Amino acid sequence: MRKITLSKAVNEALAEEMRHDETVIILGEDVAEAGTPFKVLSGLVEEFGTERVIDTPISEPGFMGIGVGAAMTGMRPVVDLMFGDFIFLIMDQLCNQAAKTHYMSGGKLNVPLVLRTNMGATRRSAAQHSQSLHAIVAHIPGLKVAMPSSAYEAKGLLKTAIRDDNPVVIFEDKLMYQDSAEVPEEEYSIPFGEACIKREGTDITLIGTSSMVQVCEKAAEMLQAEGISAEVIDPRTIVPLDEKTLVESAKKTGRVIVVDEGHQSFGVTSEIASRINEQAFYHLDAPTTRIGAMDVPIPFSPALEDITVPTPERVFEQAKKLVSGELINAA
Amino acid sequence: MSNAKKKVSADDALRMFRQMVRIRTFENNANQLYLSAKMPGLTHMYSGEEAVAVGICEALLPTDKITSTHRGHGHCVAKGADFKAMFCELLGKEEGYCRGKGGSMHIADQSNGNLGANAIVGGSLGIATGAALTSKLKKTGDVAVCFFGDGATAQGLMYEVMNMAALWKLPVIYACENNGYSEYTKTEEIAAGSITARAEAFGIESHQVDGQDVIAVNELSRTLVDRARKGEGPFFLELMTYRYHGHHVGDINREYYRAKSEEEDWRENRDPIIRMRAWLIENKYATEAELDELSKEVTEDAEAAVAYALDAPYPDVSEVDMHVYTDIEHVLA
Amino acid sequence: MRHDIIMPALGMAQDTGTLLAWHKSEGEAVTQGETLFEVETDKSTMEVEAPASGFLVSVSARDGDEIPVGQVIAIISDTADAPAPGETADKEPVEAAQKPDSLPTGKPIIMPVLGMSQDSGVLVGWNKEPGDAVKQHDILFEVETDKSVVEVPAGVDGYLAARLAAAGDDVPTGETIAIISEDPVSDPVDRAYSSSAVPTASADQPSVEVSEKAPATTVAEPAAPKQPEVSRRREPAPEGKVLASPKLKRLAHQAGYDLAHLAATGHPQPFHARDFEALRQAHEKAGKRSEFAAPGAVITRLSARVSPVALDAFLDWATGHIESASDASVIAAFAGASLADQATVRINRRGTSETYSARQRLSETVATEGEPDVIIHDLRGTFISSAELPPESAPVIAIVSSGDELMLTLTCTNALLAGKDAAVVLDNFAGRMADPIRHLF
Ligand SMILES: Cc1ncc(C[n+]2csc(CCOP(=O)(O)OP(=O)(O)O)c2C)c(N)n1
Ligand SMILES: [Mg+2]
Repeated sequence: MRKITLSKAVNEALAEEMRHDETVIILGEDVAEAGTPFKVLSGLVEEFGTERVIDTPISEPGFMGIGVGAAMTGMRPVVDLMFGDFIFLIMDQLCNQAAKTHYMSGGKLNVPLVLRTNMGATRRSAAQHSQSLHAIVAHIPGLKVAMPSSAYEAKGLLKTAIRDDNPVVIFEDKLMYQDSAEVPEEEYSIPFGEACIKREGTDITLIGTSSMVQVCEKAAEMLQAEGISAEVIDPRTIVPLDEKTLVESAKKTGRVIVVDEGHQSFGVTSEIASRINEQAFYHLDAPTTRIGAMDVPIPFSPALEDITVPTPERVFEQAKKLVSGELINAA
Repeated sequence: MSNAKKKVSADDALRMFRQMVRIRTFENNANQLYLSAKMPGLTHMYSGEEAVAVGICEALLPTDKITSTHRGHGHCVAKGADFKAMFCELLGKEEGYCRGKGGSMHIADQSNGNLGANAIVGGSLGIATGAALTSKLKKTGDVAVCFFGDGATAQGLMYEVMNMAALWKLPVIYACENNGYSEYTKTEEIAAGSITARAEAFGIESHQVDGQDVIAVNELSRTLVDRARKGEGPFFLELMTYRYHGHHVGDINREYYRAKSEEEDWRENRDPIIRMRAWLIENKYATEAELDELSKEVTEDAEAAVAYALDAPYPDVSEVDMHVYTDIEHVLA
Repeated sequence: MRHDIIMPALGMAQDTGTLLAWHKSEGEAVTQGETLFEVETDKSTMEVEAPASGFLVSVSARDGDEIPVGQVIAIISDTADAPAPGETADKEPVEAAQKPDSLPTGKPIIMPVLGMSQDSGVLVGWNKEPGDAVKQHDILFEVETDKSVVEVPAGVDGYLAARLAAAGDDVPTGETIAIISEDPVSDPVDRAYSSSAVPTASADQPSVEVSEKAPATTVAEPAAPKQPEVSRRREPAPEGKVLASPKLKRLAHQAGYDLAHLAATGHPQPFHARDFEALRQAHEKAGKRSEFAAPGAVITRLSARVSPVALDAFLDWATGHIESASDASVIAAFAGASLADQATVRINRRGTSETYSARQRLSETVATEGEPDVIIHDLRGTFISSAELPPESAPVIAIVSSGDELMLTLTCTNALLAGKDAAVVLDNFAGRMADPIRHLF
């Protein structure tokens, strides 16, 4: 199968959906000619014109709000938010407006909007350009949250998101835009709420989101060399969450590590771990543990930044401890 | 160049020249560090806009406050920062102004009234206005200058705070550095109508000024700073300027949004340093040789600081969870 | 004035503590009661508060250091400068460390271990009011464990002099939750649980089912005087704790195995599913355990095998020659004599129960009434080939025919008979059963 970059996969998904449905439009800063700083959207304005690929001023709450209004009245906007960190600027439009409109209207109004943004540290971009804020969005009922882990997922999930009648937020890892993966030529989409078992194993389950799937896969390789069989699961969407697949795997292996790049406290790792504890408790042979980003703002200095994010080595060490039965976190 | 010899002393003029040269030199070194992969991350160059930061900051006291932007090295130097701690910060070293935690986009010499460089476009509009409120309430006499780009005028926050600043007569000067572009887009494509007229709509006295003429910027700034101290603020300045580099280092192929000829024109005909140099010589404030010597000194100073920063240690990893809260030394301990 | 900051003793048998982190740095101002540093002992971590306000100086221990208990690790001084060496610290704050208020004397009642791998119990409620007279078998309180709610009898007659826990409190097992005094008290104590109130009952102290013979423990004086008041975080009870994964717990539950058996073998904890086989073996080894064992009691089980040949012959002879003698009275005499010069022995055989006042001389062993000192279950001649019956109000000895031999199994709690005494008793008894002639001399 051909291999394309995640950036190209996103571009293809948008182009395909814009061809299918002329209500699909793109709104955002430097999305047209510049194709965004990450050059993800290059070529779209040439095909679809500035009527549908719309450059906006640096007015995030403004164009997000315009996106919500357009979505409620017949368009399918894909709003491009240059950095995930800017979510904090649009919180009202996203969380008070988009997320609640369907509910508040008793099901009579829809907001079929996609917010495409990104996440991920280690670009040496410091505290305001490195955050992974998906958990904050996932906390708000009414929003769906997708976290592609490769070009394949990026395309399939984005297509589903655009066709979804609810507001969907997609977090792409900005370090992965140039990573290639096998992506079919023919059209496909990936349903929401279906986790993907990336690798089967029997001794421990590693649940990773977005780029942490790769981290888990690398850890699984390292574990295999030690004779430990790790199962790697990618939930793909955290809202809705495919609890069943996660819990089944937890029951099978009896040990789980959840890895996510959001801050560890009050985050995705905590949520998934607690669901596993609730539903697979009597099958657990070790405490379900979490590895998230350190609970500090992301520092600039490489010497500091690198230790704030989960690494394959940390997952590997933790997995070994759990499998060996070492006493973890017990008084 | 504005004809203001009488008002500007030789010392002041030479100091402004030196500060502009220092900014340019800092940026050239930063660019070099980036290109040679010695600098982590990327950076936004201030080269071309030196007269704005210097003209304004030379009108301020060290206790006056400024807020800076992603393109903030110039503001930092102009407000009195030292090369060593700046280069250390740029390289993520322990001795940096922010102990390596901030990097290029957050370099600030806090001890000289710099309240921080902000990586959120328009993110400091509230902060500067708040500093002006403090000044008014505490009667410190401080003036706050908010530096921001033309792109930031699209942020709704600006209109909210300008409204309040005008209502409350706060000693704040909004300094809009209009370099003609917001990222890869021409300002006229993202800003409707007149920028100064927006401030005027709130009853804020506004000026458009040639941001490549350091004397003009300085003269106007002195007047407005004085008036702001007396409670006549706020003021709005639109400083017409230009950035020579791409939006950030690495924005190399930019002809799709900006012609090379346009860049050349600004570099060759409107460069603030070249113009100031000619002005100094013309007014016999300095000789060619003296100015060459000054530039050489600055260059050597910068090179020494770069060498120092390259060898300086990174912060100890134990610093990673420090400074999250004021009252918890190590938040994860 | 200066105050020494010492590494406090926080655990029971703790002689060092690891300084986890200072919450204040050298030279910093501190206010009395603020958290000064955190310590880790073998059991838990604790925050230690500043005993006085001042400046933290002369910090001699760093994060991560393991420090002997009692060692001075810093000083709180009036000024931010370190005091000159030699200046002595003001010991006052240490001595003044709040002592738990004095408690009435009497027998401490502890939170019993009721389930496996249980390290605390939730007090559901009290059945007696403070000051009430209580009888040994009266239900004193109810405890909820992970499995069920259990009623716990007082275990001793007296007066409820102190209630040291309140309904809803989760109390580590082994911690004292009440005091029963011999005499009525005028001002009984009634309060919620706090760990520092009373020292944890030591492992060999009698449990709730203790007999009246157990010496009444005087509630000890509070912790060592050097120990400053520390945070309220509790020390987990050291004994009775079994660490096991939920999965193994489920497997054990399904199989009906008791993790305590595995713990008793010294198998390293925490246990996981992979330890299931070891658990199974531990279970088999331990045999079928009584479900009726007194809550919290450690049960001693001893077995002996003897040949029945001599006994059978002796019983034939004795019942034929001594008027009052029966199989039951003879065995009762053997048992009683194994225990003491004179003892009350109840012997249960084929559904009937007889009680004897046993003496050395068979003819003087006569039927009596009253509480037995030892209980015999004579199961010879039944199909039962192995028996281990729980101790009741007295040690129990089961006699069964096992192949060609008799198996004698004694069970008792420590409270009834200490382990080494139990061994002597059973050995005496087995000796008489094997060679009855011995009894006569
Ligand atoms: C809220 C926000 N939106 C978008 C960005 C991305 N961004 C960084 S700089 C920039 C352009 C800013 O233009 P301008 O304000 O004119 O400043 P200049 O770069 O020209 O100095 C953009 C869009 C950002 N940092 N913050
Ligand atoms: Mg600009």
